This record gives sequence, structure tokens and C-alpha cells, in this order.
Amino acid sequence: MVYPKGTYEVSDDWRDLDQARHGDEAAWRRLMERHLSRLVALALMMTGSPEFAQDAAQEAFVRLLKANPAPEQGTLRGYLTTIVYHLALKENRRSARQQNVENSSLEDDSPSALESMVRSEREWLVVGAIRALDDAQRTALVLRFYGEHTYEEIAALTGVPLGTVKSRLFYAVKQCREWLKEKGVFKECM
Amino acid sequence: MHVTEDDLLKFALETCDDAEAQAIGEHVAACDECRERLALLRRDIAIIAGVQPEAERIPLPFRSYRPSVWRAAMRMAAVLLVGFVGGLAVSRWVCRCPVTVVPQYGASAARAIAASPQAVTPAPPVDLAATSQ
Ligand SMILES: [Zn+2]
Repeated sequence: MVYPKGTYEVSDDWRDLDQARHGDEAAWRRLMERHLSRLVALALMMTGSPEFAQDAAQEAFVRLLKANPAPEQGTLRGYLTTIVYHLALKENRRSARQQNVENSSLEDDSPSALESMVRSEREWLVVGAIRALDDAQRTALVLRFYGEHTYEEIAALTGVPLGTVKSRLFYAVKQCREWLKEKGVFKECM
Repeated sequence: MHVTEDDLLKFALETCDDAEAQAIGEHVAACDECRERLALLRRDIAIIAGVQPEAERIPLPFRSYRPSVWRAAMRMAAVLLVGFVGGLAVSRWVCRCPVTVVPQYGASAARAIAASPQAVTPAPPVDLAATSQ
């Protein structure tokens, strides 16, 4: 894998979900430890709203507990990601409607909330680079890196051919690197 | 001839086809410079993929909703109920069918032995079911 992945087994997630449903707080914390941050990142990058990102990630966990999906239905990681992804799409539609009505500025990121959520300046710039991508490229990148979905899963989730998903990810990363080089995050090394 | 930056990126992202991947992999294995470039590219990708926002953890919701605890309680209640009703039924049945113990000593024993000469062995342990017939 080219990006950092959790050092846990898929079955650990299902065992922890079962224990959490039996009232085990420690198992519940382990699930949060593994998935909460990346889900917040996914929602934050999809919508640009730190408040929404926090709420959406938490809601995904509550829905997981209520729905209690079976391991045969896929990975718990994928289950959580898919919930947050759909919540983010809904939020984007909602805020687009609201902006049309209010004719307000497109940029509704709240800097102080974002600052408290994203600690380092480098991470802040990475969020900016990903937010600067077009919707299709951003979605491919976010689902791959933060949703930890396979290319096939992303194709199914977004309804585009596999080749398109790969090409969108390629251009997304290429553009992010250019952007981050300009900001001095990446050294010119090629 | 070195691998282009675009091809190295596709290789790092695992988006190239098998033939391309094999060709690039072979070159990278043999070329220090391209291996170094690939390592830097992977580091960049890890940074792009590595934002970890601070997020507020929520406690386990539905503290009272603990299926297993409920199920265990219901099971225990069922066992107690069955035991109680069963015990009641048995005690009533036993009351209706009092055990009659036939004396096996003295005159009556002698009479019983006389009546059935083969029954010279000591009486077998009292069988509740047989006795109550
Ligand atoms: Zn080379």
C-alpha cells in the first residue's frame, strides 16, 4: 500500500462492534481510534465544513451501532465510509441550495473551527490543496485515501468506469503535488 | 532512459496495467535514481493521504440498550418461571398420590413371605413409581 493503513485485522473491527453492542466502552473507543479521524477528514474534505465533519463522523458510528451490519456485507471500514460519503453529498446539495437562496459567498469554511481541528500548518495546506480540486477528482482522492476504498469500490460508489476513477486519482494527486510544491510543502525533487 | 514522473506516479498509485507495472518495477529495482524518486513520491502521497483531524470522541450511546444483558435477564427470568411452575405442578401431583409404605417387618412381613414363598430375599429398595401404583 502506498498510504498508511491501520495495522489491524478486518475481523478486529467486527469483534469490537459486537463487544460495543454488548456495552463494552473500551471496544467502542478502539473503533473510534481506528476510524474517527479519517472519517472526519473525509467529510471535511468533501464539504469544507469542520462542524459538519464532526457531526457526520459521529453519526456514522451511531448508525453503525443501530444497524449492526453483518460481516458478510463487507468491511466495517467501508460501511462507515459509505455512510459519511452519502451524508457529505447530501450536505453539499443542501448548502448549494442554501447558497443559491442567500446568494452568499461560496467560501463558508470557518477558520477557527478548522484551526482547532487540523493542527499542523502542513496538514492545513494539504486540506487546502484537496479542497482546490474539482469535485470529481476530489471525490476520487478522498474515497481512496480517507475512505480506504479500492478502485473498484469507488467506481461502484460513484457510478463511473474503473479507468475514469484511476485517471481522476492520478490527476488529483498530480495537481495536489503541484499546489503543495508552490506552497513549499514539497521540495522540487524530479 | 529513466521512468517519467507521470509513470512513476501511476506506479506508486497502482493505477497502471500489469505490463506497465512490471516494466517500471524492473527499472526501479535496477536504478538507484528512480528508486529514490519513487520513494520521495510515495512520501508526498503519504502526506496528501495523511491528514488526521482532531475529532471529539463520543461515549457509547444507548447505555441502557444492551441486548445481551437484556437477553441474559430474560433467559434467567424464563428459567425461574419454568422452575417455579414446574415445581408447583410436581408438588401438587405428589400430594394427590401419597406414597404408601408397606411395613416389611413383624407379622405382616411374615404373612407376606408366607403368601409368596419365593420372596425370601430382602425387599428391594422402595420404588416410588411402583409403590404408588
Ligand atoms: Zn531510472
